Amino acid sequence: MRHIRTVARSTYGKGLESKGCGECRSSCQSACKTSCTVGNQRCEGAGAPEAEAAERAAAGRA
Amino acid sequence: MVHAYRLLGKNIAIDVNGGAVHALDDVAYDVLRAVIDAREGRPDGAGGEVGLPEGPVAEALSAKHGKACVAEALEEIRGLTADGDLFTEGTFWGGAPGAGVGSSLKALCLNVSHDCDLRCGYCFASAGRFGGGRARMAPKVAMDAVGFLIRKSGGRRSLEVDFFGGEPTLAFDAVKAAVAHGEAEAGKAGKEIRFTITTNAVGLDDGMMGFINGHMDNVVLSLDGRKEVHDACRVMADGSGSYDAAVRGAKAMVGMRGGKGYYVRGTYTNRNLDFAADVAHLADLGFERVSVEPVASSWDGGLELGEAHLPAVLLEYERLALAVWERRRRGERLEFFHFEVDLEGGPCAAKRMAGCGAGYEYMAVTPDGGLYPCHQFVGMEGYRIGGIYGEQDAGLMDAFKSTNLSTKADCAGCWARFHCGGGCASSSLRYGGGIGGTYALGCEMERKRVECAVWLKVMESGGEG
Repeated sequence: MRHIRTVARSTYGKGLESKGCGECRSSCQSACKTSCTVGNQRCEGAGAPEAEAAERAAAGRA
Repeated sequence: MVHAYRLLGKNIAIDVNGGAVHALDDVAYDVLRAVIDAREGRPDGAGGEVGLPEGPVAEALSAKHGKACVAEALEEIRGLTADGDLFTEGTFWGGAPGAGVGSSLKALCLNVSHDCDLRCGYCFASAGRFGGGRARMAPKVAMDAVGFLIRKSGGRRSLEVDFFGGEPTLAFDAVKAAVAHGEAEAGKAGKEIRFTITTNAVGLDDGMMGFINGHMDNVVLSLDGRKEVHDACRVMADGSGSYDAAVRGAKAMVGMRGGKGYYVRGTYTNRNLDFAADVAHLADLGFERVSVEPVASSWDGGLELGEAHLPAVLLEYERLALAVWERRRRGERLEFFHFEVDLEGGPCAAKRMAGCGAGYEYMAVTPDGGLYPCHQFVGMEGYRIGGIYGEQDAGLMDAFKSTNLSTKADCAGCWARFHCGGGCASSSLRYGGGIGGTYALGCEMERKRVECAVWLKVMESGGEG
């Protein structure tokens, strides 16, 4: 594309069907203890979005 | 919903319901803004045609960028929308967060010491006492708390225990007992416990550091930054500054870690609104993983952040993002906790809806075995969930479990909701009228941190546009 460069594709849909596997870290256990942030936690489930992204990359979509 | 913004020379679009991020040139940015304006008033996540209204808006865009370029940009926006990377429908908005395995206990914050060797001016825990008397957790209580976690964790495999306080190294016998018990028992239950500790680093000795390094997945070391900033708040019981001892301890601890996890974590107040300089100082000391946080409260008054400080705070996050980028471009490694957004390997939708899990999957344990929704609630009247030895207040736990992103009215229109997860329950209670409210000032800061974090990702992804 000429005008828009995609930096990251959509990933949020993954995991909703399973209601979450519950294996990722509790957000307040990491560094902050004051500022709740979930966006910088990593998915640690078997069906992690990163695995999904890797599949897409392999399929030439990313 | 799409959030389009300009920051530090970049045009960026975040697809709120899908998480996609795009860098745009000036043509696409202007066209996208016009498309967003044209869709204003539709329910969040509504589909429908992506287009520009006929008339002066389209004419002005064509006059500025040329009709062909505007048409090209519009087609690209339509293509991304068709691919599910822009204007994603909110298919899970309104859904309940995790059920089953996702609602059982996962993490405990063990307040092994309601005592501290420092007297920090901003301590939400009142010098470790949490509004009560000084107390330290007995090793048996610490072991029983770990047992409680394992029993209550349902189908979860990965569990967490953070040793907190007060200053947890003042009750290191309880720390060691809990770790030994957890390592012995978790495996039998088919689980794994990640241990972490949050310490002021002042009293760390070789024995403690060896144990922490051998058993802790992460260690959080409290340092505020520049000596004059640190010593203004983080003072010993005799009023002297703790900077020299804390830096000595933190450097020794980090020096042992190798590739293992740590964070050097500071607090900023209205006295150091130039906190990017404190991050720079910590980086110059050799620390590569840093977090600074806005002060949670001020028990002696005068240090808190208010509306009047917000413009300076927001600008400082931009300065910090630029400084982090410049250091990385020079080849330095520097991770700032709130800028480490994982765009493709981040948490699933259910986690983003549930937030921190305080009150049901994450709880704090007091030295006597009492349970609270999290460390910030300890000692707060009406918020004791029960204890590890007795009953737990199912109604109170349900109140936390049923309060999530989809029930917070203020979050419905916020583009950053899936990065923040609904914010801190304690801050919501203190400033937003209840755990179902929000902390407006904190929301403003969170939105800026997310904008900066995504900007860094755009910069690191290379290319122009």
